[in-house]
Amino acid sequence: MKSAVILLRRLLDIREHEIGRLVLMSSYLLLVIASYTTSKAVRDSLFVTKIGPAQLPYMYLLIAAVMGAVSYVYSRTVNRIGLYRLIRLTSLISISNLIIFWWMFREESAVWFYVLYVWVSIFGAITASQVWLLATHVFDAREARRVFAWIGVGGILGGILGGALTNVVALWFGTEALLLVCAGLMGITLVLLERGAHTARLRNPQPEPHSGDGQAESAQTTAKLLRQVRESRHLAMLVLLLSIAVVVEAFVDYEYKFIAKHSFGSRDQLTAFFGAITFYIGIISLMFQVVLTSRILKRFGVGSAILLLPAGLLIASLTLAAAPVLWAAALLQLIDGSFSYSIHRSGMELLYLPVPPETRNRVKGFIDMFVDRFGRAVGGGLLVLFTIAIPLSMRSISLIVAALTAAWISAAIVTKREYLHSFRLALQKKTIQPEVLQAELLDNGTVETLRRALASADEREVLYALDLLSNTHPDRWRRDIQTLIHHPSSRVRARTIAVLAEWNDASLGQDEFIRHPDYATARIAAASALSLQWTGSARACKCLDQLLRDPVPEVRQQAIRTAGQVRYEEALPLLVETLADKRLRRVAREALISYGVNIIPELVRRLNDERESHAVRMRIPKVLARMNTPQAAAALQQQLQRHPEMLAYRVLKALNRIHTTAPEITFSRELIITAISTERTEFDRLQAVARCLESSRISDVDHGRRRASAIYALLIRAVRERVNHRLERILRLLALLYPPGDIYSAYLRCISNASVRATAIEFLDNLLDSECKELVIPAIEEALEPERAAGVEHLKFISRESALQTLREGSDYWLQTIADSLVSALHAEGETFDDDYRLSRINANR
Amino acid sequence: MMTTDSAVLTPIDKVLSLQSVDVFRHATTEMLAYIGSIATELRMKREEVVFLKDQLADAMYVVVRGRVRLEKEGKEVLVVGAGQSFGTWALFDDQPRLMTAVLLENTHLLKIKKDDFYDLLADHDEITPVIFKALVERVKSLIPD
Repeated sequence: MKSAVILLRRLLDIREHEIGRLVLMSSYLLLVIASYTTSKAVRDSLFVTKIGPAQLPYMYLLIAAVMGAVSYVYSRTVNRIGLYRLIRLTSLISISNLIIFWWMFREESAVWFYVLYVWVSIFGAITASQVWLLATHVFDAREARRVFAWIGVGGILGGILGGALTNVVALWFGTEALLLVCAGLMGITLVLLERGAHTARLRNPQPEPHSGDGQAESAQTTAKLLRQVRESRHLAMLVLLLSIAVVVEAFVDYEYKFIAKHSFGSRDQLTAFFGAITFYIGIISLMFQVVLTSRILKRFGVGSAILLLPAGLLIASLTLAAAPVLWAAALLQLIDGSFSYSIHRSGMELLYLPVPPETRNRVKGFIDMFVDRFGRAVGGGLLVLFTIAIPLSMRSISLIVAALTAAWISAAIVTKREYLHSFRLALQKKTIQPEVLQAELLDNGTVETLRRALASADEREVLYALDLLSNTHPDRWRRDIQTLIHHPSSRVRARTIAVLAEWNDASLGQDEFIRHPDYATARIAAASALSLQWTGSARACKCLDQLLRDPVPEVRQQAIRTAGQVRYEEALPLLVETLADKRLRRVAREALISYGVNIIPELVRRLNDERESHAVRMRIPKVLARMNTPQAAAALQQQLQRHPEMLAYRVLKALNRIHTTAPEITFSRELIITAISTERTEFDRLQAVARCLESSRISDVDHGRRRASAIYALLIRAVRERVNHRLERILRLLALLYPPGDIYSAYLRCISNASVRATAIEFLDNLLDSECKELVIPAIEEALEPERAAGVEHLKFISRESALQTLREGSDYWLQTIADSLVSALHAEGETFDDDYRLSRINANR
Repeated sequence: MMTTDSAVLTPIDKVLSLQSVDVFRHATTEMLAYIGSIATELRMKREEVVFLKDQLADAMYVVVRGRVRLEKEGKEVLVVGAGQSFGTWALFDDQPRLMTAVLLENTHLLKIKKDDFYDLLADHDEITPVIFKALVERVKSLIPD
């Protein structure tokens, strides 16, 4: 199940922490669009049945005029009350209006149908744009690039849902009931808005800085934009293309509604029909968007993409001219609706590529603000002319639409030519940003233009073209790879290999690449680049996985750094294992620390897992220590008495490190006193063994005895080391309860200089509370000043055999090894311990 | 003829040989066992040369049994016996050998390669400070009062 989620996440190119917000915003858009499409079907059905389609041209004019006024008021309101309040207010007004409309339509007053017609247009435009505006606050710019396409899918699904609801509810409960359904859908959006605003932290109003002379500025900007459009042939063609499209849309809308009105006797059947067509438009749009758009763009290019809609409309218009019946009108509407919001929109977006980013945003705003409104007004005006002033038949109107679409096709052909020309110019001026070139949408013409730039003599131009191509699969520019990896410029060679590495391209496995002087450098660069442009996409994950297992340590090192920087969860097991690799352990440790406290449970699990490599377990405490957090300290404290000798020591050192660097972190006194007590018991045991061994001797009359004697001395030294080590551990534990500097200073004095030892012990005697004093001071005295040791009486005097037996059966592998060697040596040579000597030493000590 | 045989000395024997080496004098017995684990044994015949002056220095040696003469331009500088080491600086710098080492009798040596030594330090970082401590003491002893 988990792997399925990961696979889905990679396929959708989204990260785990984005899923919740994506679902939220997609659902929000789905509900808004469902509500809009439903209310639009109700509006159209009611208007054409109650008022009649002949009045539609006036409505187009009226909508254009009202939209202008509304957008002015709207922009001023958003500046005053902030986005969250505005959206909330809009939703509440929409819900109340929908209920009012439902109530008013009982009386069938004509004016309400006009009001509803205009209202739905404004409602659709405002609410949809509000969702997108909210989304820009919920997601940052990098996230937006990945997830907005999927939020858009929510919109398409909303269209499908709206169409289906309309189709069903209109027939069961009547057209007007759908208004209550819309109000209900908008009611749900209020809940989603709360969550969205909470995520985007929009609850407090954040009014935009208000300019006192906004209108004058706006007029200046508009004049400047008009000048820019006039000066750029490409922009002028874009505006022309969009203007024709809006005019044609008005005609298509009129024809469709006119014929539909005359094809159905019942209002509810008409509503259901509108719903059904909306439903199919959604299905076709979805199919195009998911399956066909990128394929068509790749195969046939942007020129074909923007021709598809006018060509389809031309054919449908001619069909309608030949047979002005319902199915032909439905076909016209289906083509218009489904192509407009899928392939045509993607193609039109591509046409903006050569436009510099700052100009692009302004031009888009200008088109939304003026071209769209102006086109609608022109469309409405022409319809008034051809349907009211000079009443033409539906066949004639269809022929006019056919003529307009023919003009549209001509404009599209010219625009395509202009686009390629502008693209070449933009390439030379380097005004295109690599991230705006989406791999799946890049058409062949654009790729060919970029490939031609790869052959340029100018290194910078080649590098720029490579950057632009970096989002495009190498299959589309494979013929150039050989030339590029043998390019005279090392930067071009390295960048080429880096791009191929990012794509995890199979060609990198060839000997020619592996032995290439720039190959390792390029992979290091690729690993580094991933951290700068991490998308979390399937491709990026695959590339990082491969780099993490690269045979070259330097590449692995950079990949590990990247994994830490982007907190790549799938790399966690590998990073923990890398702690055992002495060349990469430092960088692996830093990477693990970057993941933060969330990985502490996993690190603790590995620390306790006896099947885990010893080298890895030994390194985990330091990782936890370097995190320097209360959580890490708490986890380490729980490990204090769980592990064998060296690992336990590492845990303790890690705790000391935390206490030194973060003194504000406190430890459980109870746990530490228990640990000191355990250490003291072990200290006493070892001390007893040490005393016993020191009080015995082995005679070394011949060579064999000399060996046993040497091992015996070694054993005494090793046991003494262990005694001192226990003392160090006791003091380290103490340093978790008292100022570490004081304890360390006392420890250094104790072990270094006999003359200051007494002062150090005295200092500790004053510093420690009675409980600690009782546990620690006797141990120090016994270890360092046996002659003064007050606690010596409680030490058990054990026989040499018991001492050796204790060591051989103990858990200390090293002492065990020496004791075994000693016993072997003694057995080989015969027992010659001088017990009388030992007993005399014991008595002397007493 | 130089021969290697790692199965003859036990880990304890290696520790017994290493414990008197100056540079390891602050190492615990357990640390010596780790160092012993990377030491390889050499059994060499009398008059064999362990290394020549100006040769690349890549290892230090500890005498387990026998004697080694260190000479410079034909003149004896030092004779090293059991429990003593020579060529120690090879662990810490990349300079060529300053002297030639010739065996005065059949000798049993422990050889510690520089690369292995640094690998060991990476795996057992607790050894590094004790080596530093011995080196600092040696440097201090060279400074006149």
